[in-house]
Amino acid sequence: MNESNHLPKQIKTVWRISAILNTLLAVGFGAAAVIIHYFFNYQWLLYAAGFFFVVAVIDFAVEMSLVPYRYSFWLYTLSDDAVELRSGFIFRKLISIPIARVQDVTLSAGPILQSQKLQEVRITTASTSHKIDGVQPEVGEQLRKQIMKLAVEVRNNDV
Amino acid sequence: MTSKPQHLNPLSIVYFIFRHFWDTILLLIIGSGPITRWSTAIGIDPVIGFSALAVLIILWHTIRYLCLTFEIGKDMLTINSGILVKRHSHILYTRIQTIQHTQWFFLVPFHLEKLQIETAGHDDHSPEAVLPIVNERIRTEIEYQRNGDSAPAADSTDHLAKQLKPSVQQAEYEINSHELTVFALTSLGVFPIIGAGFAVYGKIQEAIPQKLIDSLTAKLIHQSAVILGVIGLLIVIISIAGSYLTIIQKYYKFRLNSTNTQLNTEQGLFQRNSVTIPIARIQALRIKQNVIRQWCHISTVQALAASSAGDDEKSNDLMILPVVKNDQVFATLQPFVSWAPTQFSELNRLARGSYWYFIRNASLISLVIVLPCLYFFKIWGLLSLLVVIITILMGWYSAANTGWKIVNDQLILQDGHFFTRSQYVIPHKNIQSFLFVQSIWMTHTKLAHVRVNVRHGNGNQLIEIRYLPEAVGRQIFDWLKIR
Repeated sequence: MNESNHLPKQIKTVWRISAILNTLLAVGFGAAAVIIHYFFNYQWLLYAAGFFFVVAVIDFAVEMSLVPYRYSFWLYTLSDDAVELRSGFIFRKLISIPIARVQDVTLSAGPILQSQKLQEVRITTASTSHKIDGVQPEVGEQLRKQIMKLAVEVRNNDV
Repeated sequence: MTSKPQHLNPLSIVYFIFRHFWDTILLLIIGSGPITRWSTAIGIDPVIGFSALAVLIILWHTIRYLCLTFEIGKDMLTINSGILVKRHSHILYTRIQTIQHTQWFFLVPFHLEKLQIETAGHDDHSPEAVLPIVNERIRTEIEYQRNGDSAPAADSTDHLAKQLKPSVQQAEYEINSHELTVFALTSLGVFPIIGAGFAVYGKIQEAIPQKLIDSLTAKLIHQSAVILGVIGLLIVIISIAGSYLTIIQKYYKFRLNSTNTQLNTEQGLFQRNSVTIPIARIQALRIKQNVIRQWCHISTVQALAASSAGDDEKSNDLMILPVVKNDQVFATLQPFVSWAPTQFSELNRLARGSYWYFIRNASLISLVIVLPCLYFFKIWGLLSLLVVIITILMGWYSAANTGWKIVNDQLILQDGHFFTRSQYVIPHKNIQSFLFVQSIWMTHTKLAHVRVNVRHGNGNQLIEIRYLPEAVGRQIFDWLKIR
């Protein structure tokens, strides 16, 4: 598997759900401010509530509209000796992580990812940490195998 | 071989008390009211109450001392600590990054020192093991174990004799006092101190005249320009002297020596600070000089390593050569770090056309300061245009000092920030990950940024070369990809 891969299609749903959750969180803060204002009558709470509602709307609009953009320009490549992550169109970024430098790989899945049968992959080197938002469990497994294979290369003294 | 638990030197209790000095003061302030009240209530002198508190504090630290023990085992160092929550940390000798020991001048006659041991783990910001006050013998023992001189002798006297035998010294270097003087005088660190001096003076001036100005005669106000000038000059002189003395006492008799596989540095006047690090664990070298030192042809060499031991708590820079003449940098370095280049390489430079991007970015940032100044101070705000000139110079400096080269299996990158040039020599195998970054506009101008990540201290050091020609960026990227 050497060609670039998009993240699985389900990741769009994951991003949308998390956008909605973020929005709800901001709305929740705003609502809380309004309720407290109702009881204690502090004027500034109304401004705070307004701020949170505006943030909620903007956040929702931006995150939702960016989902297709993020999806089409977020690519990963898994080659024999490196993981490459490519992202962005206006600001393009290509990260390459030699597998021989990888210290550990963490696969995790919260409730949203679980509902879509995906796993988040976090690749840690001695100094940096990189994240793939979601992959199918088979891909995570493959990544882990490759790293095990190459781990032998990393000598004791390398870090 | 000692494998039973040992205590620190009893003086550690004093160390603990001093380290928690502020906690103690706080405790006294909070406790002062109740103690006085209760003491008088039961009819004893409050002094006795306070003495009781003092005894309690000392007792607490004594218990701490009693609970902190360490064992120098066969393959690992074990540290047991904690009064309520018992902690046992095990440090494998093979995993030790640096051993740092600091010794205040008044502890020299007693052969006592503070020992800090670090591994590459990056969970915690403090060293894995801190033994505040122990005998120098402890470090010898640990280093002996770490060097893996296996097959310990059967009887202990022979063993001890072996320990005391100095290890083979391969190279040694001591700082040249003339160079150190130049180094201390060319520190850019003096500017913040001068700034702080003026700020403090401003505050004092603000506070005093309100009360005095009415009573003072007009004569003094007449002279104020002269007084201001003199005070300004004094501030500058004191700042320079202060920064000079700080640097001199810090790097006083800086020594570097290498024994077999270890590099050992030693520095300081009042407090001797010494760091030992395995040469193989050095991740990269940094050769640094600010613009004044560039004119004086002197450089500083530091090592990047996965340990926060070293120069100062924030920067984690492990000083290898605080100051050395440009033409002797690598000749001096070579005996210590075998993989270091033998000479400065002629780096590839940016085309003049790219300088514009650095200048543009720098001046855009300066607008953050300039625009509010112009808006709020009107005519006087024009003074802030000076900032624009400085940032333009900074941008120019950054561009002019950007350089790169691939030499054998090393990547040499050079950048300039805030009138300080840093050249990094990074062995291929120590680059943890790397990035190729480009904005959509840069695809038209055929430029790109290349970033590499290297382990440094407990975190990451990102080294970035900006606005490279795209083709060169790809070439470096592809070179980095080679396994």
